[in-house]
Amino acid sequence: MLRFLGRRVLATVPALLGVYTLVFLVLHVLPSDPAMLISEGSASKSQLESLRHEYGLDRPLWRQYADEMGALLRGRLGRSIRYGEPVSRLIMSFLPATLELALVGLGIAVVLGIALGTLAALRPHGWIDNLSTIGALTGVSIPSFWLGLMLIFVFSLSLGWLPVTTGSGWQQLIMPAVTLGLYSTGVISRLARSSLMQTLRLDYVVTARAKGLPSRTVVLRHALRNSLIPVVTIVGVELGNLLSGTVVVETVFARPGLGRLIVDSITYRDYPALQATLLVAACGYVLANALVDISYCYLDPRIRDAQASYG
Amino acid sequence: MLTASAVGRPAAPPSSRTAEVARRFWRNRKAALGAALLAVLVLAACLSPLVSPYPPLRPSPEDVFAPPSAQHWMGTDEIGRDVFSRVLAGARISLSVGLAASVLTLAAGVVFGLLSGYRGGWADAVIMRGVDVMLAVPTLLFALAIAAALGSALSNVVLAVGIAGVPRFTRFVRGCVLAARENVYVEAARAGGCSEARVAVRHILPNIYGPALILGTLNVGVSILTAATLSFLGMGAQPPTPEWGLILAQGRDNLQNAWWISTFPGIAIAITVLSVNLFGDGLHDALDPRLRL
Repeated sequence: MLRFLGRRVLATVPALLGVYTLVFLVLHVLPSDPAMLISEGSASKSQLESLRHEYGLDRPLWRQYADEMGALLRGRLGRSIRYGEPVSRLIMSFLPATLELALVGLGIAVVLGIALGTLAALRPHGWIDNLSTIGALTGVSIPSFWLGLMLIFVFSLSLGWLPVTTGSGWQQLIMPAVTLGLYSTGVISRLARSSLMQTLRLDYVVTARAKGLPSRTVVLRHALRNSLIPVVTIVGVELGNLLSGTVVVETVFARPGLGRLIVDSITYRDYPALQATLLVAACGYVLANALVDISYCYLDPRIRDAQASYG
Repeated sequence: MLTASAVGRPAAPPSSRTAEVARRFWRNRKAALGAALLAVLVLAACLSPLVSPYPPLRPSPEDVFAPPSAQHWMGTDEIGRDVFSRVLAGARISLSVGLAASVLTLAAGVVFGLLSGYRGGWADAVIMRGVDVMLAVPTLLFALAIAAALGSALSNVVLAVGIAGVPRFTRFVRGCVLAARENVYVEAARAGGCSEARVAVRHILPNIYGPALILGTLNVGVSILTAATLSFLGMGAQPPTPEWGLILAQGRDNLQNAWWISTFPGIAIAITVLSVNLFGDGLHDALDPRLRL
């Protein structure tokens, strides 16, 4: 088991190096001049030259890559152009707000999604199932930035029930977390429904019913747990969507977080901050997927045994 | 039981696969609703210059922040432009961007997926490692990075959204090709002396176009949503372009006194994406052989 964990964690290293290379290439190789973008096209030729020199953009590409990679391996993510601070310090100050938002959003999506999916699977084509289908289809079609603005308009500006950005505590987290979690709720509820419906037809569930166990025990103790594996997989994927979603939600609700830092880095042409923040977001995604793989072992003993015999 | 041939009449010709798919598609109420909504949207986008009540870019100082009324169905914005005319003009932009980005994704995904799945070997290894890395970056962040590198413009949004969708599509097409290349007709084509390129293009490609078309259709909705998000964040269309995400972003500062500026473009995006999703799902159900009786 420990070998499996070690292997899975080590497998993330090449993926992260690949992501770093990809982000570097996108920002350096695409037909654009970072110096021109930083100066917003208003600098003279000599000013552009001096900008390129200042940020090391006049070095050969392989040299820039090697130098930045070397610095990264020593734990240095560069210095932000906008804030003049080390990017690692900026990230550490913005990360907690994003983690809080993403985890609460994910929590809402998982709890609501599994509850709705379970109710829909128990009464297929009933009113809860139809409502959940409509909700899921609508949830994946509504732009999150629009939903956020509408929630602000109704619950903050019109009814005055919830704060938009000011204040502290859980109240200010409700609207951003609901906005963030709605899309994933739709996806998770549909998957939980189909997975549970398949599981309910399996022989061991029929046996449990034949033994005379109460329906609630059959569903909650026997069927639901075994139908969760596809749901856990999609939760890993959804965590990536939630990390992307924080870019939009933090902008709409003016929350200081990594998503906002990404948008501000693009607006102010802060390339060192943008490169590092994208890398951190991708790290979160890769690690979330590694955790999903590891969690299979706890959910399904057959996978645990297979990994143990393989390792 | 008597059959047509048994009573001397010629048997009815077997209905073609296209007709069968079309019949199954129209029998699905959700798919028909999606197709009808999509048809209205495409019609509105095509006819917007003719049916638009006001020029979408023309300001009208006397009509600033006019609420929805008989003159201005969706109200006016901060410089008196008619929101309905702008939303109508935005349909043309958003549908074009979504379609163009999806065509780019589809074309690149089919080429890479076919090369990877059919050629195998080093081509497969190189392409799939690249795809794995690109899939490790969430799609919106990837599109943001490309848009940031290319600069803010509508044409760059098409490129950013199109490129960001390629890895997912490549992996999907590769899977279809891997399944298709094991079929007997591929072996027969090879035995008949067809070159590898001919087998790939003339025999495998036509057999994966169905699933690719379904994913391509569903991708139009995702592309419209991603493009609107980029414009909302200031990395897409630039003012005064009547792009839905941009109109919505411009209205957010006046949400309290002019809710209609942000509300209607958002509804337009949601209806468009919903209709594309319903249409794509219907196409999937109609083409999926497992659902055939």
